[in-house]
Amino acid sequence: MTATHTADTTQHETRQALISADSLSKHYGSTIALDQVSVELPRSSIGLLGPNGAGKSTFLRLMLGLSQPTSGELRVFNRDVEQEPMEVRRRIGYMPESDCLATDTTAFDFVRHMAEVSGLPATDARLRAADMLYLCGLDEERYRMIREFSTGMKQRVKLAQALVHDPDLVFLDEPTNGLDPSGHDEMLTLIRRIYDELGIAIVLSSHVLEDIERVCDYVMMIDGGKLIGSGYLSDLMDTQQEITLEIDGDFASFEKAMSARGIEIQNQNGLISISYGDDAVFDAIRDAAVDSGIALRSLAARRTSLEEFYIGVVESHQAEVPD
Amino acid sequence: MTERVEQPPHEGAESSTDGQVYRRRYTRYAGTREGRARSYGAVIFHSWRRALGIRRKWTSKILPIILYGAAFIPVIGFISVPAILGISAIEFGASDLFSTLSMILLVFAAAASPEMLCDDRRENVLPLYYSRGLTRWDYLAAKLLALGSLMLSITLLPALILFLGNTFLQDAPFSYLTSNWDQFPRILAMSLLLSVFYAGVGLAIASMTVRKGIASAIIIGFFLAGTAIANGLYESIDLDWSFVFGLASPMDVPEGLIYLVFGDAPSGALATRADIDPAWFLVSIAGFVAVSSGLVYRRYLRED
Repeated sequence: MTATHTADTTQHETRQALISADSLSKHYGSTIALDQVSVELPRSSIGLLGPNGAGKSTFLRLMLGLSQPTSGELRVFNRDVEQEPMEVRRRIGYMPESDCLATDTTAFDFVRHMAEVSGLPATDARLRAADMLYLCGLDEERYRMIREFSTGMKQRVKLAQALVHDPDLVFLDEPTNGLDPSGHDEMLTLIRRIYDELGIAIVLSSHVLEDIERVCDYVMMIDGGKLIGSGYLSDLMDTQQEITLEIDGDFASFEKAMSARGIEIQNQNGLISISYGDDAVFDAIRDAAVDSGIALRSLAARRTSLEEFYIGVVESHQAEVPD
Repeated sequence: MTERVEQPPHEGAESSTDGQVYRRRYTRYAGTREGRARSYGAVIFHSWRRALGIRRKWTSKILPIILYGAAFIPVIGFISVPAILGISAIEFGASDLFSTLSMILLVFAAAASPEMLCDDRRENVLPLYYSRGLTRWDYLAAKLLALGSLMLSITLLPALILFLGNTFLQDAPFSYLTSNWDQFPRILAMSLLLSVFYAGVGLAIASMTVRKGIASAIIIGFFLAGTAIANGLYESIDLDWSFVFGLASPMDVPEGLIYLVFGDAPSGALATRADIDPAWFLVSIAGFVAVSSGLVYRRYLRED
């Protein structure tokens, strides 16, 4: 993939860029947290993917206006975050990764307070606080002190405060951290609902690939402060499918026949794998089998998981980076 | 947002026009957004509640109640006792009152300043404020307004009550009022100066730590130790410029300001002992506020 990743406008022409970065860099002294990132992200449920220390949180902080870029330009809602921070912030919600709740207050008071800080009148703030806590699965508990809450309940309060002022875009930083399997599942379902049913665009930062794969339609991958890939998951996965097959006969002659058709195959302990992006590969396998005189014992197509795709992208990126 | 929907009555249920049925589900917010003024108001109101212990456990309310009591009860006593007993008003001037209130403000600053800042830092709430319609400047200004206004309520209100009480205890209240009208701007100026001084220093020290107890101890320690050191240096160094130590003495600054505003220094004040022109205390308070602002800037506003 190239350094600049633009949504496929022919296939997704109605999807406008919600966030755009142009040569965006952020340095902390001699440490380069983000390095010349250029990307356009559509209005969607976006997964921000990368290992710890990759630059995800820095990118989030820049989009929120909590930090200023060292160089480059960042636009959200087509507004320059540096020039018009208030216009941007008015329309976004933020759920940080770390603890961020006033523990010596009730969940209702805290969420209502955040609604008022966002500019909502007192009466509306009370109504929305109650509704958001209900939406996030905290109803009866909303008048309890936050210090009495479990990790899962605190995560729900964090989500409620991010939504209470009705943002157009919400940033979620590792929202499933510390949740048990059931809470983890409920949180992901809730996040998906936010986009599907409420129409609020999402930027979900996580190092858990399964979470991104389950919730997001679009993914942006960062490693070492550099953008290493972005695109719609459906597009990325379509181009990264794999066939596994088992044969009876001479592998070398089958490999030669496939190679003659421009297709590379790999043999892993008798299990042959072929990456493909076009259904024509099935015809090629059939023809190669006939030409090489082998018999097909089994053939199965499977979609590459995001994890496999991500590892492949990271490895190819690291191979490109000089030591 | 909760929306009201029509609901068919249950079979057999009596129809009523009093009940309302609500279906709770998310809808987009179409109401008004009041902008930065509302944000300021929310932070100030929230800070007041924290500092005064409102909707918190009862132990949080004890100190504010004691301090407000200490500020108001003597004043009310000075007015109500002569009024009830029908005796002449006891002479208790504004400069004496402000000298007493200065001590109360010190304790209040030590208690309330950490409540304003420490919890937000320790609990990492600041990113939630900054990611909304508040800048770091807005946040700090709101906190200063919140603490300053509370302090103003402790200084201005008792002084006004005392002045008005003294007025109405006079045989000729109107002539007393006309001959002492200049006390109003003095009281206002004194209240503002003391509030800014204690709020500024208190917030600056509170911004240095996330532990409320430590912040309170440092604030008290700064005033007591700073005053002792400055006085000690003044007494031991006999030079032309030794009066500077008096200007740097934290607890002598309010006394000097009282001297400046009312022309009546409390007995034993360094301002009178050192024969310092009281106008210098304006420079002194400006210096304290500038240093405090620099500390807060370094802590909150410097680019990360």
